[in-house]
Parts: sequence; C-alpha cells; structure tokens
Amino acid sequence: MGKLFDRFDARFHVRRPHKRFLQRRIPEGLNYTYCFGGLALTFFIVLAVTGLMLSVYYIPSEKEAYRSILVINDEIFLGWLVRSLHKWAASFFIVMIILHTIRVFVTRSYRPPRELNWIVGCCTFLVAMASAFTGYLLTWDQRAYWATEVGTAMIQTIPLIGDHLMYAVRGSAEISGKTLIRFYSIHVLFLPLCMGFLMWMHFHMVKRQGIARRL
Amino acid sequence: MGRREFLKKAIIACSALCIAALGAIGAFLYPARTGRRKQQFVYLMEEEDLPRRGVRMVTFSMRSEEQDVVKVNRVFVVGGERGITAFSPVCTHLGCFVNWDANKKTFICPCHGGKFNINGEVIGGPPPAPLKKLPLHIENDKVYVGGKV
Repeated sequence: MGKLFDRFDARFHVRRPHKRFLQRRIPEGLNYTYCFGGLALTFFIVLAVTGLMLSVYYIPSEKEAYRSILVINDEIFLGWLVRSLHKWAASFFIVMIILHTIRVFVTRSYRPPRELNWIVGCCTFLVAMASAFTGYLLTWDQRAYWATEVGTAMIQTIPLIGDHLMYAVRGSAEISGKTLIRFYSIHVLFLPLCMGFLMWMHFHMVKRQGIARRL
Repeated sequence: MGRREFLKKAIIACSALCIAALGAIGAFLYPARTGRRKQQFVYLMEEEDLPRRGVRMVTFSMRSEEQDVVKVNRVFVVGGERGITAFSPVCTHLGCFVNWDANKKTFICPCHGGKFNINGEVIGGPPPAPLKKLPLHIENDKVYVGGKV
C-alpha cells in the first residue's frame, strides 16, 4: 500500500489484525444473490449520509415541518435530490433486506451455528421497518398523518397495556406536535444507534463464522 | 469479606442499579399527563337547521387554551325515528374518518371498509364497536355539541 499508509501502519499496526477481515477466503459456488446483504449495507450508508444532510434543514415542529420540507425541495441547492435519495434508498433498503432474508432462507444459511446471526438479522429488519414507519410521519402531510393515526391505533388493540403503549408512542392522546418530535428523535437517534449496534454484531458474526457453503 | 466475595456483591448491586435505572428511563420517556381533557360544548348550528330525516355533516372548531391550538373537527348529525343523534366520525377500528354514502345509507370507512348503518351500528368490516355518540345540547334555538379538548 501507499507510503502514507505505511507510516500510519508503522505506528498503529492495523494491517495485520485487519488482514483476516479484508482478505477472506470465500467458499466456491457463490453467485450474485449473495450480494443482497452488501447492497442493503450500501443503501444504509446512503440513508445515513442523506439523513445527516436532511437533518440540518428539517424542523420537527407542528407548524414548521411541512414548510421545511418544501424549502428542502424547492429552495436548497440539490435539496430535491438529497430528499429523493433518502426516500428511494429507504425503499430499496427494505427490499434488499427482504431479498437477503429470502436468500439466507433458501440456502438454509440460518442453521446452526449461525442461528444467532439469523435472529440479529431479524432484529435489523424490525428496526428498519420502525425507521420507515417513524420517517413516514416526518413529512407531516395528510397522508403521513393518517398513516400514523392508523399505525399507532393498532398498538391500542394490545390487551391491557394497549392504551398506555399507544399514549407512550404518540406522546399525547392524539397525534400532535409531541408525536412529531418523538418520532423525529426515534428516527434520527434511537433507531440508527440500534441499527449500528445490530449491524456491528451481524458483520462480526459473519466474519467469525464465514459464509455458509451452498448446499 | 474477601475480595472475590466483595466483587460478586458489588456486581449484583450494580446490576440491580442498572435495572432500576431502566425503570427510571422508562418513566422519563412516558409522556406526562397534562390533566384530563375537559369536555366542552361548542356551537354547532341553529336548531331549525337540524336534519329531520337523514344525515348532515357539520364542521366546527374547538380551541384548547392549554395547548394553544385550534382543532377543526366534524360530526354527523342524524335525524330519524329515534330523534336527533350526533355521531363522531372517528371509525372505531383504527381511527380514520368515516364518510356518509347517501345512496347506500351507510357510513363507510375509507381505510379498511368498515360499515355502519344510520344508527351507527356496525354492519360490516372490522370495526369492533358502534360509532361513538356525542352529547348534543339545545339552548335558545342553538345546538351545541360536546367534545373533549
């Protein structure tokens, strides 16, 4: 590698411990369906970068939210592109996770000793769906409002604790500005943090155990 | 107490503290109850405008002093053999607003197809309960409807 990296490596010795991660043997007979997980990661990175950019201009307040979306779309340089990328990457992220799950299921890669990684993968999917749901409200238009009204009302049908749970999720009895700020916080802080941790576990388990051979 | 014993107890104590902290975090995240929502009566329409037979949708607005917001709401005023009734438009399934279909004489929810008859009773779809009735109050030829803000 380059001279600059050699100087860096001489001080921190990062090459050797990472060799196993960067130069791995992959079993024979893999095909392109093994790329879906990596593609999901790629879309996640797009989501993280565009999400950070959007968070600079988005205002999570009852009176300003929709207006700030219009500003992002119409006034900010390339704002429409960043927002569209975030929106489409979100959809493709979910699609790629589903395709990846189907691949793992079909090749039976979920079987021991990889069952824990399958569980972590499922958790990743749930966090992705929760991110999609909380992100949907943030546009604060009629469609977002009613989708969230229906989505959160489903929580109420849980016996005994349903009412309290729905109240906790909404932040108030009805969907209001409190719900918006709550969802914003969950969408940009809580869930990405969870997602980062889950992905870290997922990839380390893959690194430890390797990719399952084709049957 | 030996060092091993002490550490074991310290770990147990710390774990208990962590669990207690989780409870505190949960209580922190649970939104504060800002008092019970008060029922208030709002002017809806003149008494002579009440429908004798059939359904009329009326829009009205309510102001909440506490939250400093004006909420626009709607209500279905139904006139029939049972007198005048006011129904909340909120579907009892998942909270969408139902619409009145005059041809089919049915309240239909656009979200999941819940159906209610003119008396608010469920006649089809997923809703678990009839439409909620709202209290009406007539005073000096003016009709007021009760709602919570």
